[in-house]
Amino acid sequence: MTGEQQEVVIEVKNLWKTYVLYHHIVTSFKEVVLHFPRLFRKLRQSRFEVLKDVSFEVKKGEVFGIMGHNGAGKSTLLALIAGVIKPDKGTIKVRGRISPLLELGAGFHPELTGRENIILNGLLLGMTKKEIMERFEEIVEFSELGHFIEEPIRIYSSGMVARLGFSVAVHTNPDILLVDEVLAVGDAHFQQKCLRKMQELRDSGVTMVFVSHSRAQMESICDRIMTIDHGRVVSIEQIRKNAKKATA
Amino acid sequence: MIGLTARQWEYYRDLIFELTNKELKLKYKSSMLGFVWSLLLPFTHALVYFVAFKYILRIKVENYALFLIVGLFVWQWFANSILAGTGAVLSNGNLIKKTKFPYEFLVVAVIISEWLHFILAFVTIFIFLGIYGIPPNVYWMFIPLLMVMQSILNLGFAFFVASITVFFRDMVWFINIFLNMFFYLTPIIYPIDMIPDRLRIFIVDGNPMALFVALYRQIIIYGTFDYLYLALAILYSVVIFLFGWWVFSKLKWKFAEVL
Ligand SMILES: Nc1ncnc2c1ncn2[C@@H]1O[C@H](COP(=O)(O)OP(=O)(O)O)[C@@H](O)[C@H]1O
Ligand SMILES: [Mg+2]
Repeated sequence: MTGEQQEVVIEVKNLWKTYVLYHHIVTSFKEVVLHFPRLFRKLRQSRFEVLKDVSFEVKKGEVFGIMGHNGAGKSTLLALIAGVIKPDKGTIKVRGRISPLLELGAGFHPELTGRENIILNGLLLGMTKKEIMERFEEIVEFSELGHFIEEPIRIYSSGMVARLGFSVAVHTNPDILLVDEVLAVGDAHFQQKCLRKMQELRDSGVTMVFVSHSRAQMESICDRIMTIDHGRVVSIEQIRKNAKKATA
Repeated sequence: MIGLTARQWEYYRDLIFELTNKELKLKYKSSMLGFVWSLLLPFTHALVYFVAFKYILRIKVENYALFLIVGLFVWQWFANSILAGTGAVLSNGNLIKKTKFPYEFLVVAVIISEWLHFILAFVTIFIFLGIYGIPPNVYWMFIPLLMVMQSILNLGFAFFVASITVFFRDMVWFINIFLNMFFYLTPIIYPIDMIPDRLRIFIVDGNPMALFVALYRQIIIYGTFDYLYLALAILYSVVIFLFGWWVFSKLKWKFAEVL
């Protein structure tokens, strides 16, 4: 909106998303047999509208914040952008490669070691093994996991998992980084490190969608902040003008 | 496949290799004997059936031990592939919820890992051939084709159970019952010619596993080959594969929501 024509990399238009709670419908055969009369009522109750007519655009190199109460639909929105779930109505257009959804308990296999998970994650993001190994040392170093990298993820603390998740995501050269409240679990030192890294990535033109509970954290890094309430967009505030130019 | 660039080839090779590697690692992560267990199971079955059928029911089948080993290994490969298939999507919820990637490869990795087990088991068949003094014959060249076709059959079933189990956890129980019934209704521990003629059309002609077991036995033990069986086996495998794949691709969009 700054007059200068920047490329739109995420375009969300009139997005609606309803969850059907399958677990309520058929958890097990026993349920079906025992609760048959109640099943129909349940079926009707088990639809849940999460996002209602959401529209916004994110430009290349922008840091776009999303705020809202618990259950407002922020994580759902990120999952839709990441393409792991599909909308009922509306369109999402994304240009460029997306990082894995960074949220609590990142996409790791608990029984595999940190090392194995780095390789697996990289592959699922579309990198070849060679490309992953070129960045391997950097990933391990940034995560500060030391010898824990050879241990299975299930023995990691939530902070350690978040560190590894963040490290993998930022080192796999994404065009778009999706960050959902991960910084909340790391210690202050790691939070600072992550925020610095995010600033560095922003300066190099990486687009970011950032969800956090800390208004201060959001304002320190976001160009715009969108607030959603019960699945509806309430406001989109401009925090900084011409952010791209200011840092260049 | 021709449209793939060199980098894409490298990528898919790495992806399949690592996913298969992960399957194998997880399978044996806390097991001392590892691979040996997957050999021991069909061997102990073979031993029990051998005693029960040869000495108690007095079944008249030549080379009955070899007959059993071949049948049980081929069956075990099928059954293990389906059972492992039930967890192919379910046990990877963490990965599916965070990243969009071709989930089909999770199932493919399971199928390849089970195929490797079968290869290993197959090698032990050579030992029996040595004991019985049966030389290899020209029909052995069909074995790779049989393996490819059965992999396709296994993949079809695995696609189906992997996606259905996500929505319907009790699927695992149905699978167990299905496999148990299917096992006794397939000529594995008894020969085809013991089946009454009017039942043969269901139990043999309409049953891809009966055809596969029969084909392996013809090649390995009897040195013959039935092209009609082969044609039917290929037909069923392809149809089941396409059906399973279709179900999987219809349901895969919902995986991340439900897991
Ligand atoms: N996979 C799912 N199936 C059903 N309901 C879900 C699922 N994921 C989230 N929800 C529901 O959707 C609503 C929005 O969730 P979410 O997007 O995680 O909110 P936020 O991240 O803003 O706290 C919540 O009420 C939550 O219970
Ligand atoms: Mg959330």
